[in-house]
Parts: sequence; C-alpha cells; structure tokens
Amino acid sequence: MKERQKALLLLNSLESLNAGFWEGCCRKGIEPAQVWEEPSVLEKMKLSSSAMDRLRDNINSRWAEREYERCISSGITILTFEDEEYPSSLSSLNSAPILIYVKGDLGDLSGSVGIVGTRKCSEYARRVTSSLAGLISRRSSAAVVSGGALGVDTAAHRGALEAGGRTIAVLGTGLDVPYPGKNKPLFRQIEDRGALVSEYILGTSPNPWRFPRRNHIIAGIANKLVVSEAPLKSGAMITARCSLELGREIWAIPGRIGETLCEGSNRLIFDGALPLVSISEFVSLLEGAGQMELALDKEVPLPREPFQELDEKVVKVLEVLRRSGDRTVDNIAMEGKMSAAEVLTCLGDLTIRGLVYPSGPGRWTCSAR
Amino acid sequence: MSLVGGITLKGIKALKVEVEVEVTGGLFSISIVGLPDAAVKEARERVRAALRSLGVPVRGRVAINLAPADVPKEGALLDLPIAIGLAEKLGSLALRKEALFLGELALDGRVRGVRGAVPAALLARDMEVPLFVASENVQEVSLVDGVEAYAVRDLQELLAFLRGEGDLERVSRTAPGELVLKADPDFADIKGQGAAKRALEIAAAGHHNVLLIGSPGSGKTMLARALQGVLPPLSDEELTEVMLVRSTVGLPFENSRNRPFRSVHHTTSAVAVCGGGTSLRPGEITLAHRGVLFLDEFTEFRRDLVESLRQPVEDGKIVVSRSTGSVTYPSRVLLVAACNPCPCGWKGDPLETCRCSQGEIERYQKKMSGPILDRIDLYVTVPRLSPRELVGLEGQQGEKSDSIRKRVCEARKVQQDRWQSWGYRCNAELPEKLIRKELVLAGEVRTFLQGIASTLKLSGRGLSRVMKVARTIADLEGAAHVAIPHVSEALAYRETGFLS
Repeated sequence: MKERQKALLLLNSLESLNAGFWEGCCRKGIEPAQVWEEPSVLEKMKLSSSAMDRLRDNINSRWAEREYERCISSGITILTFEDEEYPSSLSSLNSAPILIYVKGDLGDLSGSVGIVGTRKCSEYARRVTSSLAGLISRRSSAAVVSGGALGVDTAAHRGALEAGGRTIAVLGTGLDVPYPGKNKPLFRQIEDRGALVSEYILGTSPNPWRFPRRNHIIAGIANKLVVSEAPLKSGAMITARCSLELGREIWAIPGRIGETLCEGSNRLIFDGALPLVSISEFVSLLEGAGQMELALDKEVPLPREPFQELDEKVVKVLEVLRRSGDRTVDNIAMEGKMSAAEVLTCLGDLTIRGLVYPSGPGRWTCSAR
Repeated sequence: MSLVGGITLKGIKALKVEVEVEVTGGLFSISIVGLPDAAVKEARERVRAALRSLGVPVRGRVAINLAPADVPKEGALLDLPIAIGLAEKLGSLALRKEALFLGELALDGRVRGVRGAVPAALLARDMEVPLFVASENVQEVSLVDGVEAYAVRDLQELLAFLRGEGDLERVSRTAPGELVLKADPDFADIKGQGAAKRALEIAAAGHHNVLLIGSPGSGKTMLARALQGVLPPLSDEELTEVMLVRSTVGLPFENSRNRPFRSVHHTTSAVAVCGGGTSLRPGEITLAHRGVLFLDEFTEFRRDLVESLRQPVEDGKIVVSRSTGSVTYPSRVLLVAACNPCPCGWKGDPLETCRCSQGEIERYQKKMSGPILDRIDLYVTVPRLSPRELVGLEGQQGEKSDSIRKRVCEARKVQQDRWQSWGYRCNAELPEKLIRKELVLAGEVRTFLQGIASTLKLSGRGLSRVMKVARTIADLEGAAHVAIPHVSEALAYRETGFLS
C-alpha cells in the first residue's frame, strides 16, 4: 500500500471529507506520511476534535492496513481521486469522494446513462425502466448507472443484465454489506458484468443519511440522467438536482398527473428536463451523439415487431392494447369481438414475445416501444 | 347370541354392536357396560321412560352389555336397540332373526333421527339383515340400493311389528335426484370476468386447483361459488360417498347431484378442517369430498393449517390418527383459494393506490409460498372493474352455466377414457412421470414449449403444470392433440409477477 493511499483511506474513513479537502492539505504542504507520523499535522488540518480522536484510533489500531488487506482478499479495488482509473466524470463533482471502492470492472464510463427512481414504483415504471436499460445495452456500448435499491434501480440493472450490457450499481453501504438483502444475487451478477461502487468503508451498514451521498455519486458518474418515476421528495430528485448543477442532460419519463408517485419526475419535465416519450428515439440519440465506438451490432435492424409472423387475432389484441393500456380480458374481447379463451391465447402468445405484460390483477398493457 | 344389533361409527364406517341384556332380581338399577360415552349412558333414562309409556315396567337389576367390549360407543344411536333388547328380555316380544336398530328415543316412545343412517344401511345390506330406522332418516336410507329397511315412528309401532301384530312402512328405494342442477350464481349472472370464468371452466374440466388473486370487491368469492354450478353432476357412486359423509356428521339430507361447496373461514382450526378430536370426526376437507373446498383470504390462514392440507389434497384421502384410534376419510377436493395481491389489496389497481411497502408485500407473498402452491395449477388474476367498465358490460349476455357444464362433462369423459388404464380420472391427477411420458407433443409444439421454457424461465414443475393445463384446454375443445394455441392459453394462467 502506498503512503498516499493509506493517508486517503484514513481520511475517507471519517466520512465527512472530500477530495477538495486533501487538495487543500497538499497546498499546505502536508505529506501523506505525516498524517500518522506527526500528530501535530492533524491540528493543522483543522479537523474537529471528535474526528481527530477517530483518526488516532484508526491509526493506532492499524485500521488502514487491515482494510487494505480485506479489500485485496475480497477482490475490491480502491481508487483514490488521484488515480488514473478514477472516473473523470466523478472528479467534476463539487464534493468528489476522496476514494471509491470498486468491485468489478468500471470500464468506459463516457456516455453512461444513469437511471434512477423510486423504490415503490408502479408496474408500468418497472417495465419501462427495464426495457429502456435493455435497449441501451443492446444498441449502444453505454453503461447503465443506478443505485442498489429495489424498484426502479433493480429494474434498470435487470434490464441491462438481461440484454447482456454493462451496469454499475452505486451502493450506500460498504461493498460487503448487500442491502437490501434481497438484491444479493443481483449484486453478484453486476460484479461480473459491471461494477459495484461505494465510497463507504467495508462493513458500513445502511443508514438513511448515507444515501444522499450515494445519489451524488450516481449523478457524478452518469453522463445523462433518466428519472423514471419519482415522488417530489425522493433520492432520485436529489440525484436530478445534482446532475443539473453539473450541467448534465436530464430526461424524465412522463407519468400520470395527480399521482404522487410520479409528481417529481413530471415536475422535472415542467422545469425543463427532456421528456422521454420514446425509448427507441432516446437510444438513437445516444448513438447519434457519436462519441461512442458505435453500436456493436449496428447492422442488425431494430427489433421491430415481427408483425408478419403474428396471427391476425394476435395483431388485433395488440392493437387494442396499443390504443390504451390497463385493459381487462373483457374489454379486449368486446373490442376485438373474440371470446375470452381466444383473447387469453393471444395474450399468452404476446407475453412470450414480451409485447404485453400484466399491469395489475387481471389487467394487461403493451410494453413500451 | 343376541339377535339385537345396533351400530357405532368409526370414521365413516358403521361397526355392528351386539346388545345383550340381563335382568336379575334385586333393587332396581340399570348399568351399561362396553365403553359407553355419556350419551350412551344416559340412554337408560330415555329407554326406561319410553318403555314405561308403553306399559312395560322395568324392574330388578338390569345389566346391558354392548359388545365388542373394547370399542368405544358414542351418541344416542343405541337407544333403540337397548330398548328392544330390554323389551325382549322382559318378555314383551320374541325376535326370530337378527336385525339392526338405529334411533334415539323420546320419553314418550317416539323415535328420533340420528346421524349415521347411511353407514348403518350399508352395513345392514352387507350383513343381509333388516334395518329399523327413524322415519326422519328414511330419505337418506332410501338412496342405498338393496337394503331391507323399515321406517319407525314410535316404539309401540315397532314392538307391534316385531310381535307380528302390526305393519311398518318398508323403505322403498328412490332414485337419486334428477340431473338438473342449479347454478347459484349462474355464470351468466356475473358481469364481465371473462378470463376468470374461462379459467374456472378449465379448472372444472381438468380438476385443477385454482388460486384467485384480486383486489377487494373484484368478485373472487362470487366466482368461486359459481364454480360449483359448472362442475359435472355427481355420479351414483359419488353421490353415495357424499351422502355417507353427510350422514356421518349428521348434516341434513339433500337429494341433489350438486357437488358440495365448503367455504372455510381462516380462523378455523386445523382439526376442524382435517378432522380429528377424540371421536375422530371428519373435517371440512372430507365434507367437501367430490366437491369444492374454498379458502377465502388464503394468506390469513395459519401456516400449519395450509401445510396440513397439502397431503390430503394430493392423495384424495386423509388419515386421522389420535390416541383413540385412526381412521381414513376421503378428501378428493377441488381446492379454490382466493387472496389479495398485497396486504392493502390495491396493488396494480388502476383507480386506488397501494400503500404497502415493498417489505410488507414480500412478507405477504411469502405466506403464500411453500409446497401448497405446487398443488395449484391455475393462477387467475381477477380485475376489479371500474363503474364505467361495468356499465359497458351491461348489455352483454354471458354464457350460461348449463352449457359450460356440458362442455366440462364431455372433457371429463375424454380424460376418464384416456387415463383409465393408469387409474386416473382427470388431467390434474397425473404424476410428473406420466406427463413426461404420455403427453406426447407434436414436434413444433415441443420446440415452442422448449423455447418458452427458457425465455420465461419455467421450472420443471412449472412446465408440467403448463402441459397439464394445455391438455385440459385441448380436451375442452375436443382436440386429440395439444397444439400451440392451447399452450399459449395455458401460459396465461401461469404464476405471474404478482407472486414470484
């Protein structure tokens, strides 16, 4: 472990400092080794007394060495803000983290798309988010960036992973503390096909005050941000505000007005965010930006509906659902003049093709295009 | 050997009880031996008063033995044989041949009906002896073919008959009820709900267990009740089985071929559902034998109760064992469970908003997981219709239960013929092995199924469930082979994201 790395690990363990702080220290002429060799330096850093106590404890108990060992043994890389691999987009953050713990491979983050939203999202938002992430992964080389929570975050990762893309989860806990526990298998998949990122020391447990910081990191890493569904007071809105400060492009998926669940995302549109009205158009804009090494399979035509192979009745059912969603079998049967059994047969067929999904008990909606 | 016989019940079987009476001189007393329960012991008061009212005074020391001595006897059904035995001993009549007697006595000599008349009739038929029952029990006894039974109104009449002085009404066999079934509610009365109706039709045809998932007020309970009306009528043999169970617990007689429908409340104890208690009574699952067992608010049921249903639902019988003995009851039921999609019930509803946290929903859905869900073939989500949708459906006339039932009966017949050599009656009963071996699919259907199995990540069990349901759908249509549309439809009744 390099002296500089050790010093930054120690400072990061205080949780309250950012990259700017260390830069200030450097300007004052503080050498990394001084942090643990000369107690007087801590005074010079103007740390609070409780922070100093904690730092001294960590120094005396050789915490930094042990943390480093732990990281190595569990395959976690520590990237300090001075490292070359440290995401450049993150440095532009006002309060860039001193270092981040990374498990997996960050890869190229330019053009990455952040997808955020509420944990308690509607079935609609879940579907749209996951097909959005899926199409991004299929048609561009951009990575998807999101948190590790349930709801929209999980849908985004799932969509990207299922399409074979790269996805990055920024956690608000230590990397060895999977939270929520239900997402443990998902995190394992993400490690293989993307990366888990956190600025918190190993073993940090989930606490509400840590998640806003996590949201800042998402905003920092992601080149573009899509807010899928978010109430006014939510982590996704924090991310959006932070992205805005960084001057990043913000998109929001329109929701129904009058529902608190999507009040925040709708408000963003009102405030000037770009409304995401078509997934495929959004993705073609990503490609059009041109800074990518072009989509790998540009030759492959868009996954158009293979209408010609569909049965006439199936097409009719699909058309009814395209007109408006949330239909019961009765509605479809009446509009299409079919029997319930026929409608169910068609719905079964369409579900396999991923063109429709059950949006509520006994209700069906067609997938977003 | 005493010629006076009575019965006691063990499960749904009647056991013969021989009644022996001895009268000796001495101070008046009546003692009953042979493991009588309180109700049997109290018979002495009723018997004495009844005989007295006929002018037969009971004097001396009376000992009544109920053989076999080691079988516990319960209930008031031994009043009549004890009275006859006593009367014979006191010299007011002489029996010439063995007979079974069944009934409770009133103090003035009238004979009251008791439970257990059908098992008693079956026993009398097998023993080829006459049976004397209370006139209240005549209807149920009349369903049993080949039994010599007599209806008794009061003790005097019976004594006169046995002396050869009077006549008794001989019970004549009545044919089981007409094939006309009543459907209440009728499927045609239910507005909309085409998907759920179709699923219930399939459930009825293939005897598939169903789980109905929907918001409060979506009509789950009504749909479950309507299922009864599309089930095929009970066959003669099944009707006897149902009557046997009803008679054993003393439920009133009903001469109809409607299948039983038993709705169980979620506070019901496991013993009340599965059977048990010291007298080893049958539970609700046995009362629902050959019919529908409906568990509303499925998630509210205690875990152990739900788990204990698994084996009887699969095997069609339940063994109730207690310290007092062990009996086997039939329990071939069609299980219909209903639940909300989440604790508040509004998840996925277009008008109301769900207020449950993710954790709450998970905990709620975890309650439904477990082996019992493996026994459920059809998952049906029931939409709550908005007022506008309901009005829109006003003019529509749905299909009548009667015509649906006709299709169901035909499909059942096809299945019976097909699986007869293996000993199964319907598609739902097929074991995994047989599905793989015997449900041969055409090449294109097979590739289609393999395709969806991987895209939808179906488990092995999930796949065979789809195959079973697809087979039933094909049977309903009268198709000899399962085709792709059948499989597509079967997929619509799969466990969806609402449970996984």
